[in-house]
Amino acid sequence: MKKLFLFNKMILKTNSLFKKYSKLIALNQLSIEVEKGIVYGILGPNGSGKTTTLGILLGVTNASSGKYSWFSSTNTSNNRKKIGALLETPNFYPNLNAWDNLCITCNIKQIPTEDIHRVAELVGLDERLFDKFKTYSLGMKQRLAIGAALLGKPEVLVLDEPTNGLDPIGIVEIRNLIKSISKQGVTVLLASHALDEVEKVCTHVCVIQKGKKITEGKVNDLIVSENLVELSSENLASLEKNCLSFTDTLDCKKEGTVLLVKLNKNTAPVELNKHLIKQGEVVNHFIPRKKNLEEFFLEKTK
Amino acid sequence: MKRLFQIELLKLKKNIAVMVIGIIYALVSIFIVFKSTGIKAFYNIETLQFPDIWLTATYVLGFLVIFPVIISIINTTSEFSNKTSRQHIIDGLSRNEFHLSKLISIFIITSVFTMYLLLICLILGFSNGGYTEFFGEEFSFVLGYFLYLFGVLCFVQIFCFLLKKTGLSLGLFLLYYLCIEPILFWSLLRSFSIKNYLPFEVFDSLLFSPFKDNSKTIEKLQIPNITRYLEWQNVVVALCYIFIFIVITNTIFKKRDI
Repeated sequence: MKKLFLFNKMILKTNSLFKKYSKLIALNQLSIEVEKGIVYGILGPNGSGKTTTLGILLGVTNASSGKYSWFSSTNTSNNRKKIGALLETPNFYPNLNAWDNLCITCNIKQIPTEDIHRVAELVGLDERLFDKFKTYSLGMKQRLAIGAALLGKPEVLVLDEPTNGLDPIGIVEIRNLIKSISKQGVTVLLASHALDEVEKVCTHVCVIQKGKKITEGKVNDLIVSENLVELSSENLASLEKNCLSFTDTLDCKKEGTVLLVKLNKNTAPVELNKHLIKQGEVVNHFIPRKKNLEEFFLEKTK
Repeated sequence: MKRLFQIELLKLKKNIAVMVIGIIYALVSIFIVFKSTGIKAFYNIETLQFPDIWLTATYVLGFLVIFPVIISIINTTSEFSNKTSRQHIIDGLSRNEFHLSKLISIFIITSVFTMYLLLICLILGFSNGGYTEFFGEEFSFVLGYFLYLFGVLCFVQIFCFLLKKTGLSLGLFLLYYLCIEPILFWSLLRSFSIKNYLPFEVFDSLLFSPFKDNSKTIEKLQIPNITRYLEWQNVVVALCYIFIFIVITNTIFKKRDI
C-alpha cells in the first residue's frame, strides 16, 4: 500500500481555483491533479484561462478563492525554486547579456552558475551567450527562456505555449526536448491552444473553456487522431453513396460543399481513392486531414 | 540577503542610463559645492573648511535629490516594464523578498551618494586647510543626508510600485514635490503646526538649512541663529515616515497581480 502511494506521488493539486477580473470570470472552480512523471497538457482556446491558471500556480496572480499545493507542501516560494517555468513571453533584462540574465536566475534559485553552460548548449545558444538580450531574435529569446526554465534540473517544468514564435524546425526541436526531459522523470505541465502539440507531447490532458474544465483524461483516450478525408465532386450524392460502399468507411457526412469521410484508423486514404476510381467516381478535391481544435471543442462541448 | 544584494548590484552596475546620470551628478555636485561660497556672505560659516563643509555640502547637495530619484525610478520601474518582477516571483522569490531586494537597491543608491558626499567634503576640506575640528557635531548632518535620501527614495517607490511606468512615476513625484506639498504648506495648513510634519518638511529638516531660523525675533542684518547639528526629534519623525512608506509599498505589491 505504501509503495503504491510513493509511486503515484502527487506533484500538484488544485482545489476549486476561482479567479474574477472585475466582471469577467477567468477561472471557474478548476480542480486538477498532476502526478509525478507525466506530461500534463492544459488545452484551451485563447482567453480560456490557461495563463491565469499557471499564473496562480506560480504565485504571480492572486486567486479570488480556492487552494493549490505543489509537492503536497505549502511553502510556495521555496517550492517555486524546484519548478522551471516559462510564462507567456520571455522576461529578461534587455541591456544585460544572456550570461548575466541567467546568473540572476541562478542566484534566485540558489544554484551554481556552472549549470548555465549545460542549458545554453541544450537550447543551442552557447555561441551567443555573451550577447545582449535585446539583440536576440524572437526565437532565440524563447529558447533562452526555456533554457532558464531548465536551470538547476527542476523536478517540474511549467511551460506556457513553449513553441510560440519558433520556426517549424525550432518547434520540432523544442518538442523533442520536452519529450526527452520528461523521459528523465521530470513532470511537465504544458498549456497550449494547439491540439496537435498536446497530442504529440502530452500523456494527460485537461480541456478548459471559459475557465471551466470540460474534460480530463489520458490523451490516447480523449484525442484519438481520427482518419478523416475531405472530398468533393460534381455530384456529391453519388460520391457519398460510393464512399459508403467502401468497406473501411466508418462515417460519412456532408459539410457545405465537401464530404467528410471517416475511415478506419489503419486504412491509408489512398485505398479510398483506389476504390472510388474502381467505381468510376472522379473527385476534384481530396485532402486527408485531422480534426482541428474547433471541431474538437464542438464535439466536447455538445 | 547577500544574494539579493548581489543581484541588485549587478543590475545597477550594468545599467547605462544609471551610469550616465551618475557621472553627470558627479561633475555637477562637485562644482556646486565648490561654488557654494556665496552662503558665507550671509552666515557665519566657513563654507569649504572643516567642520563647516559638512553643513555646506549636505545643504547644497540636498537640492540635487532629483538625481538619485531618477536612478531609483529607472531601476524600479524597469522591473515592471521588462516583466522581470514577474519572472523573479516565478523563479522563486517571495513577494516580500522582491520588495526587500528593491529596498536593498535604494540602500545601495543612498550609500553610494552619501559616500560621494564624504569624498567631495574630504577633497575640498583638505585642500582648503585651516580646520579647527574634523568631525564636529556638524558631521551628524551626513547621517541626516543618508536618511534624507533613503526617505525620499522610499517615498518615490510608492509611485513606482503603484504606476509601474518611469515617466508617470517621475511626473507624479515632481508634481507632489514641486506643487502639491508647497501648496499644502503655504495655503491650507499655514495656520496649523501640522505643516511642519509634511513628508518633505520632515526630510528637509534632516539637512542643514541656513534659512531656518530658530530665534523668533531677528533684526535685519543680524546673523541668524542656526542649528549646527541634527536634531533627534526630526530623525524619529523621518523614521516613522520611512516605515509608513515601506508598509504602503508592501501592501500595494502584495495585493497586485503581477
